[in-house]
Amino acid sequence: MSFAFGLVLAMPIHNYIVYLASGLLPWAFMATSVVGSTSSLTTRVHELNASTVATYVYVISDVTIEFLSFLIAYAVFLVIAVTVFQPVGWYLLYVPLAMLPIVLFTIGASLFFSYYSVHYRDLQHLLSVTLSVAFWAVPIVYHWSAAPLFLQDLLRYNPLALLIGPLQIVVHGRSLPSLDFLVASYAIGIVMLIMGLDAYKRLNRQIVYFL
Amino acid sequence: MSLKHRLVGRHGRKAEEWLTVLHDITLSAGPGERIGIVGRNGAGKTTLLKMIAGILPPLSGSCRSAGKIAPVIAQGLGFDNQLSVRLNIRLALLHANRLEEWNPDFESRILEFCEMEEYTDRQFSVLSSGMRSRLAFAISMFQKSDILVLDEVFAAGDAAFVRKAQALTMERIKDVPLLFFVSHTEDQVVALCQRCILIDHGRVVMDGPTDRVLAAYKNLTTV
Repeated sequence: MSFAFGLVLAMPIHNYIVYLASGLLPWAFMATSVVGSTSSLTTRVHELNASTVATYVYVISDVTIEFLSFLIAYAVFLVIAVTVFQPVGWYLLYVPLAMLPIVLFTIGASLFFSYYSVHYRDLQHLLSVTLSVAFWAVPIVYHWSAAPLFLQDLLRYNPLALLIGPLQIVVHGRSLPSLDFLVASYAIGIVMLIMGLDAYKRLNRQIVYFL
Repeated sequence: MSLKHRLVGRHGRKAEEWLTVLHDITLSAGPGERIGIVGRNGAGKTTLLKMIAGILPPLSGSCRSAGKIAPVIAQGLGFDNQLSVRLNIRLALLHANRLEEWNPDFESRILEFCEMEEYTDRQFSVLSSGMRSRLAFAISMFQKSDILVLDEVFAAGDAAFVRKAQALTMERIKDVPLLFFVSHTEDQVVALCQRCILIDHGRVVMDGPTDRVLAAYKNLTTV
């Protein structure tokens, strides 16, 4: 992919591989966790019917597994990035700050879709397709400036782009994102988390009867 | 249901799709009681136990309890073939919401009781089904609680282990302040319970001394 976009299409992005990986890895974490969460409860009928463990534990444990894989992958990527492509700098300290809203969003979205997918079993397929399409609406493999003018604002300021963007700015741009960008990212993460907790609160009590 | 059905208007579970398992259950129990629950298959015994244990929430009414409840309803929950026996003990405790009880001594006592000390670090998949049953039984019975909820739990295995397991079960039952016990084995219910509840078609048909309730149960099953 990096070959295709970096060389064949000759995208004017410095250190394209760093740009690509800085956005692709968090996207993969988010998308895999959210799609995976749709089966966190539906595949654990036996456990949920016989245990007093809180149902959200299964969702959070699935997200945690994905998060640990993501952390390892991102750590390896950062080591390669500062060894091969760009110098080590203070900007690396901002990585957790830019990563946190993605984690909040992922937990929230995973809770939300895990509970609703018990009621709507085809949500998993719908979500997979939607996220595949949404992937191209986020400037991960291309830069928003490469898009037609009328699309640029949409690609730059859609919620998923605002969520992933700060991490790209920190790692690839080697700087702290602007405050409004960071606030927007946190707002999206927190709103999704509240929606997830709300879904849990609404649906948890009787969820076992729908499994 | 699917989102597709919701969008085209066929949404919500129709009343006839819901199966009401328990109806109008009013039940209270206090310390010192040993309560047997009997009834035919599908009468609602396990559902009632799960409700008492807090696994299933009542759709109407309420279910309140004071003290720690130990539900022994499904044994071997959470076992993973790819992990070691040691990790599976922790995993089973996690699924039983009892991970805080784990410590090396607790683990040793379980393995010693199961006579499986040499398997501690072996992969779980090497255990025979009998050994798995032993481990599941020991994990479920090695716990202290205020309320013990037992569903047909008497260990499987060779004769010597069954005797040992029965002795442990009796010891736990003796120690626990309140017991709910579901069984189809009349002798066990007579030996353990002074009070008995007969459930049929999700309703409490009779609640009283064990001998009278068991007699009523016998009549019910011979009709």
